[in-house]
Amino acid sequence: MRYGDLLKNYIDLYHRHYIVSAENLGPMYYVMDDVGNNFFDVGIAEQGMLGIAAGLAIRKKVPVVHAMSAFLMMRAFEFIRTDAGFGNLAVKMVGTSSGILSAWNGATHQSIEDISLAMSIPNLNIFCPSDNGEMIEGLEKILLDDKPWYIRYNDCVPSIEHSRFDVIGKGEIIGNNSEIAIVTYGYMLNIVNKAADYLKNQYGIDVDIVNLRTIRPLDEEMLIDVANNHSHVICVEDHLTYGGAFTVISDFFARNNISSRMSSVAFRDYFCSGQYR
Amino acid sequence: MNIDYNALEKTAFNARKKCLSLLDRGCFLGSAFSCTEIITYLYSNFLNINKNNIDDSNRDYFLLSKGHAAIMQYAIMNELRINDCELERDYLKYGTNLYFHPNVNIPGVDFYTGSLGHASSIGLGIALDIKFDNEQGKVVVLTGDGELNEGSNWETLLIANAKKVDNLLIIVDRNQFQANAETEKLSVMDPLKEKFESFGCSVKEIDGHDFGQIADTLNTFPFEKGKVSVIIANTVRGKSVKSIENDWEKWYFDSTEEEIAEYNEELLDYYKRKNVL
Repeated sequence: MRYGDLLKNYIDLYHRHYIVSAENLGPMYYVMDDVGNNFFDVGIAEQGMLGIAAGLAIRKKVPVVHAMSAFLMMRAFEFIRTDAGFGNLAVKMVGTSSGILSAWNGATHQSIEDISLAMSIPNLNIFCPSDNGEMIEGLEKILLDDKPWYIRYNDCVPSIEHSRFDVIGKGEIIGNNSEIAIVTYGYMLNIVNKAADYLKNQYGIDVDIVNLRTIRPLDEEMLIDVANNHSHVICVEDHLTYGGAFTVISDFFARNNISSRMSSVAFRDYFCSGQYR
Repeated sequence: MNIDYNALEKTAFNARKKCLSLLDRGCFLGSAFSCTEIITYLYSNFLNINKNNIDDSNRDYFLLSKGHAAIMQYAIMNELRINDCELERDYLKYGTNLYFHPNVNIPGVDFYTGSLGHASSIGLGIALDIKFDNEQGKVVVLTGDGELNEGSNWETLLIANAKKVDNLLIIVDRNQFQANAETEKLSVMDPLKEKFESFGCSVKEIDGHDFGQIADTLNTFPFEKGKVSVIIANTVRGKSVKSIENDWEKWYFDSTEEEIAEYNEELLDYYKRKNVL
C-alpha cells in the first residue's frame, strides 16, 4: 500500500485525520483531490503549520503534518516542543528527506540532528521505518495513537526480508546469533544490509542486524539481549553521533549497568558535504 | 442585548483587587491590568464558556497568547464562577497548577500559552476545525502588542487569509509596552491597523478600557465575511493604579504589604471616580 492511500483510507474510515503540508506534497499528492477539506497546504510556513496542527489536535483531531525533516524539526522546533510535546497532542509529524537523503542540497537541507532534537522533547515518540512496508505497518497503529510522533518518512523498497511490525516499541534482530551486532534504523537498514553482505563475502564475517524501528519507545528488552549475546555492538546511523541512537542506547546501558563494547558509525562534529552520497 | 455595565465594572474591580492581594508573591501586574476589561467582557458577555459547558468541544475557545497575564484570566474566571480554583490558597504554591502562565489543568483554560507568537496559529487550527465540523464556535486570541514582533503571527495571518477564516478574532492589547521597553522605541509596530489590513484582516480600533466600545465592537463580530477580525484595543499598562501606569519597571514585580495597601487605595480611588463603588 502506498502512504497516501493509507492516509486517505484513515480519513474515510475514522473522520479524524487531516493531511497538512508546508509545501511538501511528494508523499501524498495523488490523494489531495480525494480528501477534500481534510487536506490543506499552509505554504512554506512550518511554525504556522505546527500551531495549526496543535489547534486541530486540541479538537481531538489527528493532523498528519509534512515538511522536509530539516525544516520541520529545526524551524518549528519550539512549536513541536511546547505545543505538540508539552501539550501532549496527537500531532503526527512526518519529516521527508531525513538524514542525508537530501545530500546534494548541502547541509542546509540535510537532517542529521532530528533524532537528537526529537529525543529532547518528553512525550514525543520517534518512528524510523526501514522501508515502505514497515512504514505502513507502523502508521496503521500510530495514526490511531493519542501521542505526538515524529516519523522519518521512508518509502524505499525493502532490501531485506524482515518480520512484520506488529507491536509499537518492538524492534527486530535479523541474523543467526553472530558475535557482532549492527544496530540501525530507517533508511540505513538498506545500507547496513549491503555492508553485512560485503563482510560475509569478502571476509567471511557474519553479523546480526538490529532494526530499532522506534527510538522512543526504545525496545529495551531486545537491547539487553543484544548486549548479552554479542561481543561487539556497532551503531550505524545517518545522524550525528550525539543524541542519536548510539547516545540513546549507551545511556540506557549505562543507567542499567549493562556492559557492552560499543562503537558508532555516524557523523561526528561536522556538517556533511553536498557531494556525500 | 441588555448589558449590565455596572456589573462588568464590579467584576473588573474585584479581579484587580484579587490580583493586588497576591502581589506579595509577584505577578505580571502591569500586563494583567491592561487587559482586565477585555477579558472581563469576553467571559461575561461574549464567549460561550461557562461552568456547565467547560468540557464540551462545541463551545467557544479563548487563548491568552500573552500568557503572563494569566493571573487576570484566573481572577476573572473565578469572579464569574467559571471555575473554582483557589487563587488565594494555591497561587505559586508548590504542586499546584496556578503559576505565571496558563495551564490546561485549570478548568476552562484551553491550552498552555505564553510562549509568545504561538496562540494565533493554534487558534487558527481550532477555527478551521470548527468550520470543518459545521459548528458555530468562535475562537478569540488575546495577544500583546510587543508579541507581534514574532514573525509566526504574520505567518498565521497569511494562512488564515488564504483559507478565508472568519470565526477567528484576534484582540491586540495595545498597551505600547513590551517587557522592558516601549514597543515603538524597540521595533516600530505602527501603523498597526494598516499592517493587519494588508494581511487581509478586518480591523477595528477601540479604547480597550471602555466597556461600551468593547461591547459595540464585539457585537459586530465577524466584522467581514471571509476575513479574520482584529481589534486593536488601546490600553494602558497598569491601568487603574496611577503610580504604576506606564511605568516600564512595573511589568513583573512583587510588593510589600505597605505598597499593596497604597495600590489598593489608588484602585479604590479610580473606581470611586468612575462611580462604580
